[in-house]
Amino acid sequence: MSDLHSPSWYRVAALRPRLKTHAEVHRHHYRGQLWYVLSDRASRRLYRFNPAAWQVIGLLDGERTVDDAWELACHRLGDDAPTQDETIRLLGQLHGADLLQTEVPPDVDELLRRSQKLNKGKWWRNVRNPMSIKLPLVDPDRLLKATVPLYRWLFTPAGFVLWALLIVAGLAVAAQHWTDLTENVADRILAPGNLLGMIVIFPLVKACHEFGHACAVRSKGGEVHEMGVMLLVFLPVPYVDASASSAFRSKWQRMVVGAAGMMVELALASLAMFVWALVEPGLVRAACFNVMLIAGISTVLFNGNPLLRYDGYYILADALEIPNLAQRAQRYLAYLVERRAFGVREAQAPDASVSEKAWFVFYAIASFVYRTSITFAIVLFIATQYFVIGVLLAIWAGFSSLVLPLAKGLWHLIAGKSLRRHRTRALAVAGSVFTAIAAFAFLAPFPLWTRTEGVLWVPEQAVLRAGAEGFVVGLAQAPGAVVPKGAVLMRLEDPLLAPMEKLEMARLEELRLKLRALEVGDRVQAQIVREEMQYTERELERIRERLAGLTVRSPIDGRFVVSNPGDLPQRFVRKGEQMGFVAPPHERLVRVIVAQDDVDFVRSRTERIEVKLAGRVAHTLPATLLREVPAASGELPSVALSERGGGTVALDPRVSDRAVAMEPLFHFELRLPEGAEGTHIGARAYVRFDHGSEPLATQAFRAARRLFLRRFSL
Amino acid sequence: MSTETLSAADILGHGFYPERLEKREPLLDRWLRRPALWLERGIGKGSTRFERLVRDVEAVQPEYDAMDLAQLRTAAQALRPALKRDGFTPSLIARAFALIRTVAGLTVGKRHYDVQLAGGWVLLHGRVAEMETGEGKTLTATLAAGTAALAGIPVHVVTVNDYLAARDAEEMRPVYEALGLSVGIVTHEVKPDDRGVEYRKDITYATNKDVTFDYLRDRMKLKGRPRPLRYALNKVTGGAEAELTLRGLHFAIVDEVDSVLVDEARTPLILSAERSDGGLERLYREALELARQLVEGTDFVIERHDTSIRITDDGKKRLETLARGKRGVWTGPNRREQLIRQALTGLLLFTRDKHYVVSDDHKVQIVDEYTGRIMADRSWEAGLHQMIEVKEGCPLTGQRETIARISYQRFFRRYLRLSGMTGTAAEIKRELWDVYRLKVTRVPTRKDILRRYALIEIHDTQDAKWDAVVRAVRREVDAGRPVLVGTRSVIASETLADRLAAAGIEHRLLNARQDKEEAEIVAQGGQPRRVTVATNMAGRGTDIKPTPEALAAGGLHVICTELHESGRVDRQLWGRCARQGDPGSVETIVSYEDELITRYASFARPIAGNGTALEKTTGPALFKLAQKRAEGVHALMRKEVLEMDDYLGDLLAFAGRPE
Repeated sequence: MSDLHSPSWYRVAALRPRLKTHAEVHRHHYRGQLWYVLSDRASRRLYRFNPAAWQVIGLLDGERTVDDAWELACHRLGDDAPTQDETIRLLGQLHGADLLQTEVPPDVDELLRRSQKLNKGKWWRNVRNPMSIKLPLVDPDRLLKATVPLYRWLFTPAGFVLWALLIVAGLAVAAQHWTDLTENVADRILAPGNLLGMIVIFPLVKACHEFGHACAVRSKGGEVHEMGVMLLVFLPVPYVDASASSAFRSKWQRMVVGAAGMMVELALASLAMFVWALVEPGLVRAACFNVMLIAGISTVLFNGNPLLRYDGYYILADALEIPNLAQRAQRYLAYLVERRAFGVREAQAPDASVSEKAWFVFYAIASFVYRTSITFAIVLFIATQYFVIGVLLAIWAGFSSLVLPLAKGLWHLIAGKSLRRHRTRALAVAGSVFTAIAAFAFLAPFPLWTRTEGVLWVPEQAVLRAGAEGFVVGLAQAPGAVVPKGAVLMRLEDPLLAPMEKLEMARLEELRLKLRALEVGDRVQAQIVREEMQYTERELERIRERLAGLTVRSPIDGRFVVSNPGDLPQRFVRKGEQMGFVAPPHERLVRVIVAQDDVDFVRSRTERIEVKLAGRVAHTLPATLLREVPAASGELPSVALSERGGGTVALDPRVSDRAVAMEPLFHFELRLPEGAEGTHIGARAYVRFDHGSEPLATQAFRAARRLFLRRFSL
Repeated sequence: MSTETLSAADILGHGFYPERLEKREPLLDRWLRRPALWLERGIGKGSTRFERLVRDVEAVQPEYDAMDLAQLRTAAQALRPALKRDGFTPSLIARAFALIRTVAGLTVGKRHYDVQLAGGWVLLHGRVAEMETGEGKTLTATLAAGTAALAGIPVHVVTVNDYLAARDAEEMRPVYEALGLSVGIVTHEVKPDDRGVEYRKDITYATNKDVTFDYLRDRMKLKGRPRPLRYALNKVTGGAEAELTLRGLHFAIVDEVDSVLVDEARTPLILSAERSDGGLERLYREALELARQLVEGTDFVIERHDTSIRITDDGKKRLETLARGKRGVWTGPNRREQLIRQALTGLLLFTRDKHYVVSDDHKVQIVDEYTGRIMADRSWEAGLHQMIEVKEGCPLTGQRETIARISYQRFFRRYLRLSGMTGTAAEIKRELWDVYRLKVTRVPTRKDILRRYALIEIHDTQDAKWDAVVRAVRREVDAGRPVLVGTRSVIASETLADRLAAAGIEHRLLNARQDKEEAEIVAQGGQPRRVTVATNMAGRGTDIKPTPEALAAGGLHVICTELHESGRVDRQLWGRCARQGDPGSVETIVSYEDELITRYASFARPIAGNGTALEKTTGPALFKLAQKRAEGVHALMRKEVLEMDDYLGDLLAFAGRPE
């Protein structure tokens, strides 16, 4: 609250200023309150005054002195009258806007300084924001004025209905062709040829958009004097100065102007939809697709989003009747920090109602978060496409959206004028907040883990394999029975083997007899028979081996497990085929795959391993790392881990017969404790390698580094 | 000596009413210029600058020493064209200095010492000469003033008060007159119409306040920046009432430059005219009445730091009920609260006999906190003065209406050449450079300083402190030494006087109420066993000369009873003793109840003054801390004044530039 009287009053008291003639006044209502909007037709800027301030301005007619006007205002308004300081500031503001005319020759130094400052400000804005540089080109007002009859009807209720019909029809067509439209969108958008097409079409669509604004303004009687090109991320995008609409009295009219651009685009998208549906694939169709993409989707995502400073923001501000929503929101938040956190008691509370304040807080935070994240998303996107430009942009974006504001804040803390008497507290508060955040990020331990998938696995020697091919005759043991090592578990039958054995035995006998006969006489013949005998013996041995192989014995002590016991009898199995296994009572293994990024961590820093098995997810089993299966390979232990099998690993499409992943993977074997029985081998296991805890900052740094390395394939 | 040769024409300026135009320096420029300060070399006794200056002067000295006064006057006149033509070349400076030295020796019996030559050189080059207290700044100034005046440059020697202006001018008049230069004096007593004559003299001694006001009046006559044609036109058409008083702002030598340019820079000088106001007295009376009903702590809070009043929300509610039924201004909360705040400020923050005195003819007169002097025609801003008048039951003076105002910071920057002298400039070096582009150059002392300092003595209560002061006074008086006791306020000086009287110690009191007898009291202050109790006004410029007998007993003993917010003011007080190689001693006796501590370091008081062994270190540290904080607050306020000036300048650009 400032004093009623100002020590500088004597400087202005005797002046007889008045408004310059080119200022226009409009009465507006914002949130039920009356405001006077002064528009400067020369500079196309607007100034808002509350009725009290307007009272004083209105009283300044070039005849009255400032002192008289102020006294009169005080008399009329009582406590609502502006203080002398406020009046001086008001006059200063009007002078700064070149709207004040006094009988005193103005201070030339100050005029010069101000214009220099203005120019410097413009220059700096471009330097600070190289992603959007404005180049004014033409004054379209005469064209627009001459063509008003052509488009005025569009901005009538009938025009709106027509527009709505067009959009609905477009949507209907889009719904019909939904699958065609959405198939492989990402590939189609980012294909080089299409990008080129987009670059050509984008400015054209945006030009229509801007003309939408311009026509809307002109149709309501506003003037449009500046049109040009803005280099948005080095891409030329047309823009139009539609600020005249702010002077419109009805907020609906202002909102229509704000929405006109998007409405034009949506209409374009609808038309493109029709054409797209009619023509054959080709250049025209591709162009239509792009128009739909730009006019339909980007306009909704960007222009329509009130959190960015595009059309949506202005529409929202008008709808809420809070002009300058973003700036005021920011200022209010700054005020809150100064007042509440830093204890700056003399901080001037921004003039705002409770609901406005709520909007400010919401808007300031939401838009900041959104804007920052979208900036970085865009930068990242560009960076992946063009490395050098991307990195430069990233540095610039990081600088302007993080470093610069932080530095500014810091500078304000150190040298800001408003904090002068509260610097100790401000520094203490900011310092402790910063310390708290830093401590949280750098000290507070956060669990760190690697999550991956694996399958339940048994040691090779526990697998029951057919020793020879044959038909399964039956199970000697019931599945699930505990069997000792060597116990017969299954029998196979090969009907040919027994006769073959008999045959070979008979042959052997024959040879033996033959040998006995020849042994004495023909030594040469005997030797031949002996060798033949040896051969036959070996043959017999092999047959016997195969016979033995028909009996499947338990290789270890354990529990006999067959996955589908009912299928087995009379099934033909090949030699070496897996038929079941004997689960060792104390050993259960999980074979997990680990991506290359994580392998080092899993190897060196695993403190604990937790496993959850599919089907028993509620149970967490501790596990121990048994061994690493050497060498990276893309081969998966089970199809279950691949995307095809419901897992997460993308398969290499070039290999069709096996499950081979796109990226190199590392295999590990984990040992599960007892209690994992009952699940079938090959079941999916969710594994978490617990690396203990690590502060967030280190984790974030590592993640960022990894992202960087991978994105830029360094 | 440096190779820079100063052209006299640069300082003389050109045309009509020369002055330096205000130029705003961007922050970056100011920073980039700061290193220049670090590069600054002194003019110490061993330095080449000093040696060369002394050698050059000594070379021509015999030539002038051989002359009598008449010849010297001719020689001085002969030097003038060369100075005007060639500017301040080393050889011409040496000649002028030698000449002035001889003349001073012949006329006032004081020849300049070598170190004073160095001081003169510093002044002539537009810098601040930091000279130890008692090194004869008045005499030093004659070198620069005389030399510049011989070159035809109008010189203003600016002092802090009428007494010093008159004393210095009268003391040095013989020197200047012997050189053929005229001396003018502008003090408060000189009528506006007679001032033009005084300013047209070659050298004018004036107080900072007078010269600033005269300049402001000139600006009013000029209606803004000096424009000869417009002024002439105005004169012809009868628009300008009178002749201008000043000839422009050429060269100022500011004595006690830290006091003028720094301590007083905070308060803008306001040229005002009285305005009649009806019914205001009743309003003020009502305001005081209401304000007295409010309770401190619940209804309002005093912000000790910047001495302002804040009305709490409770207080605002209470005011609303209190003001119910009243009409006029009382209906609107903003105006009401402002009036009440002003009333509370008058009631609580301004104390009689400390911030102001009530004179015998029932007038509220402001006491300058730094010097303890009465500032007869100053008044506080809008309504506050009247509020205090009502509070003290004095007749209401008319409310004054501002016509023009300027701060010292802005005024002195307009001199084409500015220089200054002080004993204490070290702490404000940077501020002088940032604000005035003044470099501080240390000038060596002639003799070693024999001042002895006792350890600071800290008492828990005021009462204990005063007892200790009385004991200390008695001890020194018994030793046969003269004693000067410095107090911070008029009340404090009177408290001590009462105590001394009760203890039977004879003393003289020197404060804002006795300033008529100042010269006489000071003159006698150097007698043995003489006790002088003085407010801060006995700081700057007061030259108490101990008699030989007193010197034999150990010289003047200074007792500092309260540390000032600015350490420089304390050092000025200490500088009253042990001047020019005399013996002397300083003792500081303070208490934790002093305002310095309660205002700036009360939070640390429990830590520092806890009666433990550590207190020997922490106690004095506490006072240092309090002083540092206080100085910080003041520096900030000065900076704000300057920034406010700039801000207002831009904001009020539409109103033209009257001052």
